[in-house]
Amino acid sequence: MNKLAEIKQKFGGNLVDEIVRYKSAINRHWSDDKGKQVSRNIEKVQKQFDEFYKETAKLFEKLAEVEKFGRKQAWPDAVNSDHWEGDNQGGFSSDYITVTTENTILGRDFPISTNNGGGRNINETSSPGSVRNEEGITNTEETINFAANSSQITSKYFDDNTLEDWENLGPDSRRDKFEKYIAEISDSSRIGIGQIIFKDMDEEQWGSFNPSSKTITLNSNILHDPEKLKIGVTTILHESRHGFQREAIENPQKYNISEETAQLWRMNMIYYNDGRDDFEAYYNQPIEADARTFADSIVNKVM
Amino acid sequence: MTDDNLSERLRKEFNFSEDEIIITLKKVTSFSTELFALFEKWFDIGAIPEKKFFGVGFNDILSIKDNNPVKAFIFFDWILRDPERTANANKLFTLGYPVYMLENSLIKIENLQPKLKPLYNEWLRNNKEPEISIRNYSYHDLISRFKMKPIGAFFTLDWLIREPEKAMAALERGIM
Repeated sequence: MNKLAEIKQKFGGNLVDEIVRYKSAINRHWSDDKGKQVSRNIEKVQKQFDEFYKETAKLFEKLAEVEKFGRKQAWPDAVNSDHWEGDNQGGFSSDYITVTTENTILGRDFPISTNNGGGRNINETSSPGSVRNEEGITNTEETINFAANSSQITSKYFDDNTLEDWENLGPDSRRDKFEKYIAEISDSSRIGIGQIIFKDMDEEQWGSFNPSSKTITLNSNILHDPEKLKIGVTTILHESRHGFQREAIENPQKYNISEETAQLWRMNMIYYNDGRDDFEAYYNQPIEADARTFADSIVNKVM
Repeated sequence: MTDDNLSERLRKEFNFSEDEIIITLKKVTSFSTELFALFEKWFDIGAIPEKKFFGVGFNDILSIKDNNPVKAFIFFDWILRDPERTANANKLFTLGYPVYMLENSLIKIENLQPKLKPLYNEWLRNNKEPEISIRNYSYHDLISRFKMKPIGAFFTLDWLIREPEKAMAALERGIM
């Protein structure tokens, strides 16, 4: 494939065609008035092209971050194989990204060293009427309902009076409140969370979700320290979202989740990054980024 | 096994591009004697080696390399040809890192910030724990409070240098 065809394939044909047309016109009329007008036009188009080029490069960076988690097999069509960056052994270079064939062979299709940002699958297709959230997950009726129901239930359980009284409640009353709260969230969205367990956990660990037993475990400090109410609610919502993700990948149609989202989550659950191994990878992986966005969007609105 | 019949197989059986074939031939030629012998055996009779390197077997790698034996061989070669990388792979295996995190982790180790790299090397060679804090998070904090593995703590310090605001916000939030 020649360079022009390659650029067209990457960035779409229109802008490239326009630049080529202007360049050709310049060659024909470079010294006359028309040539000057064409020169001005080409500068304008070149500027547009440069901006488009930068934006596209940014999108590929974002895509690369997602790619880190599930590898190429998770999104077989989502990677333009000419945008793989690496250690430049035996490769050839384009204008802004180094391509290496070794990386191609190894499927090393993401810029690991930059390694920042949240997950976003920019090639995900949306179903009609759906909207992508900040993490690139397609919001469908079911995901919107889950968020709306959870938000409503959170407002109901943690209204101003409860927030004021929280300090005066004992651990048992707090536990009771949390148990009823999670049961209602679970029922409203059919995610089947069976039990909430409070136990001593590591200092910086607030909760976890067990997909086999569909149980949420919370750090018992949440019960004993009234200052931890907000982190408690955030953790419950976060873990509930993991419950939702689990249900959704098993029944994508029931939850009206696109197959791309289901596959993204499925692969992330298989190739999960534990925070003790790599905290950055843990924080940025798609299911964590999604659960975090979900919980924060509700807590920041309600509490 | 000749270059021609290997090329043909890479092209037909594994859909390698011409560039990939050229690089693969070059790499196979430079395999260590041991790896080359295993590769030839695989080529001739399809035997997936039982041999493990740094605790990791071919079947482990196949599962993360599209079940493609050629990719698995090249992956092993990528690690084995560099003694430092091999030492890091050994350490990651010892610390219980899953195979699918191996490659990313090796690359992250090699790209540690200049401030951290010598401390990491000292830890790897002499098991000397670093006395370092970045943005008020010390290596020891990360190990004791967050229960991070030593290499996980180095990665987090690296993140704190590269993206301090984001990393601090993430740590402040804790693990959910």
